[in-house]
Amino acid sequence: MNTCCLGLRCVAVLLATAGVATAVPMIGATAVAQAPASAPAAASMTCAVDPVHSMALFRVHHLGAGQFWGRFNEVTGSFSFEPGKAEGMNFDISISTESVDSGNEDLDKHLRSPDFFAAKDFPKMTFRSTGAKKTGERSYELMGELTMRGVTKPVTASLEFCGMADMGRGPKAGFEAQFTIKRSEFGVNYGVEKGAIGDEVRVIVGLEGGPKK
Amino acid sequence: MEADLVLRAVVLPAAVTVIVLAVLAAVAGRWARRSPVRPASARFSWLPLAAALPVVLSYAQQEGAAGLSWPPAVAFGWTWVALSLAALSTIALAATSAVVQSVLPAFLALSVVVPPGYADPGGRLVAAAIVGAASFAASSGRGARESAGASEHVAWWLVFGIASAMALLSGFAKLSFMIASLSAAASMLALLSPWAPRLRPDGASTAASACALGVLCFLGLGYDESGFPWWSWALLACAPAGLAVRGFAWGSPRARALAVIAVPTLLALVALVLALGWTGALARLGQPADPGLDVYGLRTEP
Repeated sequence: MNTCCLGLRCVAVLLATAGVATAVPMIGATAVAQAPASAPAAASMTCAVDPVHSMALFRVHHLGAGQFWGRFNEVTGSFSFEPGKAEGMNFDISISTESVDSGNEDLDKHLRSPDFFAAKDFPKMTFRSTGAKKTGERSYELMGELTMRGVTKPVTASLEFCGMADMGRGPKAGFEAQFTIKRSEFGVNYGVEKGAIGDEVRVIVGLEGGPKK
Repeated sequence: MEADLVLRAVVLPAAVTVIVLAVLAAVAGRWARRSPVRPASARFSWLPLAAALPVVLSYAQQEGAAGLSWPPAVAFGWTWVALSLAALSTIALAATSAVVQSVLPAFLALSVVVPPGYADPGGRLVAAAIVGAASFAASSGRGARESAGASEHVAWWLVFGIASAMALLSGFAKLSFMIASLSAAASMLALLSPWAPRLRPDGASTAASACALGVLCFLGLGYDESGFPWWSWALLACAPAGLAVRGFAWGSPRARALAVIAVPTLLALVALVLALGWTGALARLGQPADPGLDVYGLRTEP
């Protein structure tokens, strides 16, 4: 009986030790990732957007019912920032309209046509920041100009600093921006009149980048 | 949504065009009756407007006031300009030879429209030559053996209808609606022309319609997202050449009228079938219809 209890206790101790052993590096990694948010001022960093780990999502009301989500797979450009500071923050982002992806090839063809993005006339849409304001510990208000289908309009995005870390592949920094536009203001008016496809489009851009070489 | 678009961007522009043409025809008829001598401009006709006005109105309906800003931001925005230019030039060239009336508007219209990938003038010159030749062939054979006017309107109705379907299948709905407005206007003119001789097609209106089809096919080619081969768009643009069958000596007037409808329609249909066959879409069309799928093949019913 005692032997059995001792054996179980040993197994429990071993499991607990193994748990701690695996948990320690994870906690360590999280701490590294979180560090810059609370870290004191660091040097300014200019990053090239990592096109594999960056994307833009859009959401629009469809047929007065559900929210339709699509994405752009090719996001390129650069951004520069100084952790914790709004001053000097600069974003120059380019999105390939050819890379629109709804998960349905026929719908993608229609989205690329002049009914929507006119991808052959305007293969890129761009965002260039004009200023930034700090609104929280990790959040900012990013002002800039969005150019789509040859029309440039000012937009204000809410920007979140997601983190900065070096996990053996060089330092990486990440941001997520959200803003809403009226697509008809950019000449994308297909289906707007009767509200079949909503006019307001919510855009979420997830960016990850490493130091620009 | 689709029904509303069809009404606003297809039926309404066609109906307004036909009303405008009927009024112009009535006014022209009254002037002609008052004139003691047959004027030199007796061949003058407003009918070529039927190849431009529906597109202008359809474009305005779909794009709104912003779409009419100058200069247009997209190549597609020049469509209404090119077609207006073609129609007005065919009207202005009414007193010239059929060659001039057919070829010059084609070159004028295609000098304005620059679809994506055709910034080089070489491609546009070839397109203009094809459209001009098709337009001249379509206008030829008119004269002593001229068939009933309604049959040519019916031919345009069907040819534009097939072109509209091809534009839709290529992934460009707005272009499809614009072409459909031309088809709808032709259908209305076909119904009215037996009672309104001034609404029957003439050389100028045939040239303008052929030119309009050519410009729209060229745009369809430029914006094609379905991979339809260039020659299918070219064949579609050449379909009006089938109207030349009206000049052949064989058969009764009724047989010739039927041939005027059948030959261009068949050419257009062949262009569409070849385009779909080339991309493999024909095989998908042959499958049984699934009412649970929407236009994009997405399942909309559980």
